Amino acid sequence: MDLKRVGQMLLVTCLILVMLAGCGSGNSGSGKSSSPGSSSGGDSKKQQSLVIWTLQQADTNIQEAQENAAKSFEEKYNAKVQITAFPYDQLKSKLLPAVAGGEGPDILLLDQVWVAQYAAAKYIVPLDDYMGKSEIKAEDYFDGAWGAGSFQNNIYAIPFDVGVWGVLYYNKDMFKAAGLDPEKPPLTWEEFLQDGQKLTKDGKYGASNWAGSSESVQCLIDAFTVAGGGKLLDESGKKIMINEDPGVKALQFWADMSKISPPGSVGKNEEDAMTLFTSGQTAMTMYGEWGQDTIKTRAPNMNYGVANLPKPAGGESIGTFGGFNLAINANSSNKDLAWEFIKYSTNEENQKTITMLTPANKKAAKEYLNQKRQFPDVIYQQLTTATYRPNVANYPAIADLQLQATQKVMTGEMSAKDALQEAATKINDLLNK
Amino acid sequence: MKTRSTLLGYALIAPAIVLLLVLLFIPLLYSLQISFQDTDLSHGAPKWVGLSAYVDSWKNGELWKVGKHSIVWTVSVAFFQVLVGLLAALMLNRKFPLRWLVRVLVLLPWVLPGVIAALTWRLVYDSQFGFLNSLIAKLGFGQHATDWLGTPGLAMFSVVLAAIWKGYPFAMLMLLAALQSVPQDQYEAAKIDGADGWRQFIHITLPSISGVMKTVVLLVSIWTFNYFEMIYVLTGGGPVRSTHIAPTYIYELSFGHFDFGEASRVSVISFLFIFLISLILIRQMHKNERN
Amino acid sequence: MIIKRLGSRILFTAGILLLLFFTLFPFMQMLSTSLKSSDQLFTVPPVWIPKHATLSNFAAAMQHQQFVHYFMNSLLVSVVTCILVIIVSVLAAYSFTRLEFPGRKFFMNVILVSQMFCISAVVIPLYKIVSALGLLNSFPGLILAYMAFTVPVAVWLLRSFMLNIPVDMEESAMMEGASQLQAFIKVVVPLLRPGIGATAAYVFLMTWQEFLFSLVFMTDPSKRTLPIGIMDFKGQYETNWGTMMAASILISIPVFVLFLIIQRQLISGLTEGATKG
Repeated sequence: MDLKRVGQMLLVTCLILVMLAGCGSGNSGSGKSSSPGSSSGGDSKKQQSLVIWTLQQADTNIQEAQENAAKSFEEKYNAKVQITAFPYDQLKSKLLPAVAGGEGPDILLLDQVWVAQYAAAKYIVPLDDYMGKSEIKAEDYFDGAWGAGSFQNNIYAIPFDVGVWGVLYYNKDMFKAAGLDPEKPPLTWEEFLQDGQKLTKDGKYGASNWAGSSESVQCLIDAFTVAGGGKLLDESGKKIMINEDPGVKALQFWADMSKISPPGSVGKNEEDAMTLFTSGQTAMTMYGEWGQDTIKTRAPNMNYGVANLPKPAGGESIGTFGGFNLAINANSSNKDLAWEFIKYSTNEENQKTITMLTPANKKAAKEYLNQKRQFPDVIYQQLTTATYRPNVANYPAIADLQLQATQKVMTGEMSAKDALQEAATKINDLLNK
Repeated sequence: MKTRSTLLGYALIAPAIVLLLVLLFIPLLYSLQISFQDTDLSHGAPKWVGLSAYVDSWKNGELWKVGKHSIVWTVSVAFFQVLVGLLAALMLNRKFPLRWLVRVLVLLPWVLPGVIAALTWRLVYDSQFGFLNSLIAKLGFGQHATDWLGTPGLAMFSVVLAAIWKGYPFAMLMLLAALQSVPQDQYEAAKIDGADGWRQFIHITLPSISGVMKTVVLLVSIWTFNYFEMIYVLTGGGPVRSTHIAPTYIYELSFGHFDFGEASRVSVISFLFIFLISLILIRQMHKNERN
Repeated sequence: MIIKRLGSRILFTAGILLLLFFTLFPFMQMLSTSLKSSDQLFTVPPVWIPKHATLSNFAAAMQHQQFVHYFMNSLLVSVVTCILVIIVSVLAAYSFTRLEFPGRKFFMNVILVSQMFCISAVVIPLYKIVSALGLLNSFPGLILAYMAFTVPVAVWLLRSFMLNIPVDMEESAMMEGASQLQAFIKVVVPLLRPGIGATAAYVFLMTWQEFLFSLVFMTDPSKRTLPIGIMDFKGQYETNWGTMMAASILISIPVFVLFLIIQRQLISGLTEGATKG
């Protein structure tokens, strides 16, 4: 029996494990100070620190502007600001375990549709008291963005930047080739489908709809519902109204777009639709205003125009808000400082340079659009009238039921009326559970 | 014969067991506890509701659908992964020029990070720009724009195919290692007896690798059941939830809806399900070991 | 006879080619995409071999400042995990196959059961534990989590390989005066080499490509691993396909080479084992 030597081997293994754990906790001493949610640390005793998780910027100018803004904030408040950037999907999957695990950054950058959930789960704190003591006014921001930051009559998140789903992009050269006036993009749904028919020839198509696993399609159908005079929720917030006439027509319009779309739209998402447009396969697409950046990198020579979303007969051109708001982590030990930072990053001056989408601050937005976007007036107009998605705690479940209805209609499984009726019944159950 | 040695036995398994207890079983207990709570965000703070939570989840009906998809997915992916893996291992066990290169090339799908692999398949399946529709046209079957991921019914086939591709190299590697430890003299003896290739396979190869094979079947089934990334990236469970399986559903419930109670219930139920199936498989294995 | 042999030879070659085609088909699109400039990326019908191939995507991937850093992080995490898992698992597998002690079956089942957990189900409670241990945002924390998820399989694989090794060889070695440890090292380990190789390959690859844990546990950009880092090329609205595919190819090459080396060793280990046996 060679117990001793086997024992030695075992001892070595255990030692390695212990060392591993040990050097981990050793690290965590220094790691902790930078680690999210922890209070003190840093060089000077009085210096507070803030951790912020934000979105990764494709544009290095924005990143630089954010760093500069953070630096001057540090000097002003004698604080340490640590900004870490993640791509969207990663931010989404990373925030939840961190915040639910009692950690996470002091300041959260939340997609508008996450605010209600984070608020309902008490992961973020109401900002009404802070609001009362500050000069921040709701009127300074786009209505929809402000509305999306509130939940059950409290303000939880201050708008940071906004985008609108969507505007109409069209390829002027393809319009010319099809005998259409390139300065007269379609204004109504009818014109849109008619022009689309004319553009659908020689293996090219008028536009492309989509219904892949993405919520963007619901943004557009919601927008079309409101454009046709409909509503998403009733006043009480307990009844969904998408199964009424405007909702049915909106979904039907989206499904009818299949006639002028390349085959295979159900498996596509908004990015695929944009790819079809930038590669010259389709003549029109509906996309957020930030799509201009995509066109710039993918098809820099394209001769394109941007117009308002087509409107239903007797309706208006309305889009749906997207964008991001800033909120304070309930676990943060520096909430006051965090509020200062939120104020700082949503003021007019900073908003002009540090946002990825259009600034949520209206004055800053105007200037930003004039500077950075083509067709700024079209975009500004679409933003000011945009609606926002229902901000109820179980919005994701609702959006998924809507998406299923859309997919059922687009695969020909059900009529728009039946599919929406079915979805509405289930959604009403959810709202009144 | 086994040496009887309690202390040494415990000492040798201690590191593994401690690791698992702390990092896996505590989380499991935590999940179990949460699973008895109603954590629906629209209901306010989490409430203890006990077993009736499970009854409610069952009545919901979604569980049953997800369960069916999970079984179709697991059985087809696991079966073909092992089958393709076995065929590949048998071929790569024979000598031929450049075998060393082929042996490494077939490992490539397994090496690729899962998310990248899934994104690549998204490109391949694209109805306009994908190479799959283009291949079908090149082979002379005509120009189609099949929506591989957007057609209910077809979508499941597409994700299964991609998953087989991603995972078969593991089965291949394991079975190849097993094949190489089959004693060569048995084949020599069989050749003298005049047994043909098929008989050699049935009477010598298969029995010698059956131990490893069963382990592989068990592992591949468990992994496939819990395999998340491929479906999440390719279809997100759609169209019309026709490819939603347990892990994507759990992810949707916890990361999408913040409904940790329901997510825990689904994971506890799927855990019990895998557990039962594995138990049957293992019984089988132990029987063989004794024989 | 000759015709029959020729026929089976053709069948065999066709089989190999079919296998290679199935395996490499998605890589063709990957390679093709990585060689196209952004204006050639999407055409109908798709072009398989780009007319004006460019290496600019590869250059862009290499220029990504953190790329090499991510690579080193992944390598460190994978190699350390691999070594530790093999040590822990060989010991446990030996104990399960060669020793008899009360509760052996029970502990074996504990190990088996622990492979049945779905990662997305335990990631949140696991986060809390790693956080309580003070190991968030540190490599040891990530390595421990990876060990927890690979040790069960590693033990099971090694156990089934070890069961295939006849005990009488060790016994006869011990009768000739070798200690239990000597018998283990001189008889079991050489025969176990293909098994260890396969298991190590499994552990290495699981850690090398793991996504969710690495995403959730690691925050510091300088500590991100490759699968996370490579997703830098996929923005919220726009995927930089060319560069992402180029980067994917770049990261596959070293692993490919590594396997070329390991595989030769695997075989030499085997032949050695065979001659000694």
